[in-house]
Amino acid sequence: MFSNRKIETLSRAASAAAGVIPRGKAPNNHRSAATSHSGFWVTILLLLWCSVATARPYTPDSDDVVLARLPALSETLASPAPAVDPAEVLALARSQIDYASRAEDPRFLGYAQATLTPLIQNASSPAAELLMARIEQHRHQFARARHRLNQLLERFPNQGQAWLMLANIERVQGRLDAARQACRESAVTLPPTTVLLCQASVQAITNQRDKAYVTLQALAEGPAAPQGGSARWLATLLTEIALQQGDTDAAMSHLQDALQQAPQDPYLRYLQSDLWLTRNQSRSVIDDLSGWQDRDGALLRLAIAGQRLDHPRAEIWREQYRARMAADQDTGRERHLREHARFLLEVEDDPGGALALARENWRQQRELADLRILNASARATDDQDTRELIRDFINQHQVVDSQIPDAAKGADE
Amino acid sequence: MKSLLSLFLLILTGQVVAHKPSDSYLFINSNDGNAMIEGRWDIALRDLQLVLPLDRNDDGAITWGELRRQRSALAAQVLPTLTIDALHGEQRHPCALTLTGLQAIDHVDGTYAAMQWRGDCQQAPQQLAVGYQFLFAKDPGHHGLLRLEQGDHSLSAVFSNRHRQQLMGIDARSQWQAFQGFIRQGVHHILIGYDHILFLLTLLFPAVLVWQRGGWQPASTMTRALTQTLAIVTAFTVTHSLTLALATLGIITLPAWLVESAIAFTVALGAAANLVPKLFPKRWLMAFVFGLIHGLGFASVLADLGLTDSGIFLPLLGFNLGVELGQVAIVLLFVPAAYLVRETVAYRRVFVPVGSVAIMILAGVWLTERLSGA
Repeated sequence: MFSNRKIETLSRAASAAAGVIPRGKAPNNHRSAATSHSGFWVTILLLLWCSVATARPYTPDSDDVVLARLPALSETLASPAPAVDPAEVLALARSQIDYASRAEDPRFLGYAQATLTPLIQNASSPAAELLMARIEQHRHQFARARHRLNQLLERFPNQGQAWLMLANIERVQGRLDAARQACRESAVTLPPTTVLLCQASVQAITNQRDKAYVTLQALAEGPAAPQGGSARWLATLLTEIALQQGDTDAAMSHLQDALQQAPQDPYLRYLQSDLWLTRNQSRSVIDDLSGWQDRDGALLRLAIAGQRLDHPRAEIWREQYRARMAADQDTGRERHLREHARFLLEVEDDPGGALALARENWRQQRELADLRILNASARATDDQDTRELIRDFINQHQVVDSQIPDAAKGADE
Repeated sequence: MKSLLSLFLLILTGQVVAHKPSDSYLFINSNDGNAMIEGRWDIALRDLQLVLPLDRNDDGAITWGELRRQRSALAAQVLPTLTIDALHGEQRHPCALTLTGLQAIDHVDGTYAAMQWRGDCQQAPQQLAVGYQFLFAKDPGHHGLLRLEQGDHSLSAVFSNRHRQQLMGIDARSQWQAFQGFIRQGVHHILIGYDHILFLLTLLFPAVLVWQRGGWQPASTMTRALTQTLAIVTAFTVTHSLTLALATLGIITLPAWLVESAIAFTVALGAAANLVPKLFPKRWLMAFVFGLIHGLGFASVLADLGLTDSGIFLPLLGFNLGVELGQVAIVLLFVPAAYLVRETVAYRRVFVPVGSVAIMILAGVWLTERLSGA
């Protein structure tokens, strides 16, 4: 009896902080005295420490109360009939992973993993290994994915796609030389355009940036302009480089090209919002992302835009994002620290907290976006150690970026 | 080419996968020295749907009614994916888990089923070995987030596809802490044991009075009041400690309904003694004899805590100490107050007789209830 009360106290304090309003009738009102002592700090501590309990149990008013709606594709993708033919297994796993990326619903990564399990266990299927590596990369399990790809490439050095994925992981983790090497290796089976895009994605960060931009633009406008996925990748790279150069108009124009091909792509939509935010067009962010409030990435940008506009829902978005970050803690998973750090810096006005997360994130991820948040937090806290670390990285890789003052020049070197 | 396209998708979207991965939240509460554990297990309805056909009408929505109707399936198919063993020294007892309640609960990513459960471990655990098998076959990315609460302590652990067993070390706590736990249990049980309190108070009502000339008169001195109080309390303590020990050691065993009824009877008799004190001249003797019965009542509580197998001495001592501490607190609150008002007519003529009659009636009701409940 005691213990139940403890759970409820915990939950209620957490739910008060998280702004979660339980639906239905609360059955145990006579116990409310147990919570009266939960003060502000208790609440904060509980949120951090016991993010699991966000509300307390209730008995809904009637049998007709809808508690949950299943995702549209559940029937076919969540619990499909087990596939037997390896080709079918791979196709199913691929659809599940694609859906996970498109809808940003990581449960489908788990379903894909379950789908692939027999292939992974029984035989050496390069295609299955590649898909597993994709799942791991989505989960930010970079070391595991790299290990898998390296093992695969030892046996099948002609797996161009594996090289391409490896290049991407190396680039994300800031091992640019290894990334370039992997791009070169991918040429064994992949078309030249793909290899070029792979190399450009690495060059884009460095003082080779402007050269890469010219090459990519020529490719886009030339007769051999790629189609489909490659075209989208190309437009995305051009957007990112223009953004680095500080040319938001050009960035927006390239982004529209990319969005035309994939209007629902989360990465592009968030890139668009970030562009709007740099151009002080917060209203557009809210209009564009309001329908995506179940996604962390959208919620973060809504919270930033909402705060800037003093929007009536700003507080709600902030609380929701807070609650989600709290729920992500202590789950034994890799977390999206970069975005959380950005939230702390831009919404919570907590540069110290942002710096701590940005530094932790830097151990895993070293893309330009990671460097930007690390730099912004280090400047806000005037942390010399971190600024030294940033300067070292910039010098080592000749990084250039208009948003990072230390790396703003040097493009001509 | 299609797979190449999805590869680009990966590179473009490798950045974020929001929503939330699948987690369940498992709470376990274990009290010091208690063989019964209890807790709650929150599972997302989306996850349950993978193992139970919740959405019976296939409309893509899960209603409370659809969940409620699967209660027995939850008990039969889902709860058994959780196993808890109580470890005590070399011994290992599986705890029998039963579903005791089903509600809904909102977490950040939607509504979950909140399953209340209880586990009977036969023996108070020093450690808990928890095994978790839920959903991994359908979603190897699933995690189970476990939180164990024990007294003021809490431990957390995460179950994953690769780590399906957790040994939760309650034994890290010192004997002294466990002993303190039993003292707290003792205090707790005397304070919530209203029948014991009423019996003691009934006997103490007249401790500040003397029966003279057919009525209650104020005791002339503090010493006299204190002597009476001390005699009553000591007599009660000596005998209830004795039977508590005998019953806990298994030397005396009486059915609970009989003990509980007898306790109600002693309360009624105690109240009667205030009204016709001539029939019960020695109140300490009454406390002495009836203490035997109350001790059996305490023993049933201690037995519920699961201490009937091994390591009895310290729990028994601690629990008894706690009972005495609680009792002393009650005496210290009541007797000085009664001493101050002992000369008022209201206390002697109204409070004592009316209070005693009220207690007699109440005890009579208990007696009937407990006898008929048997």
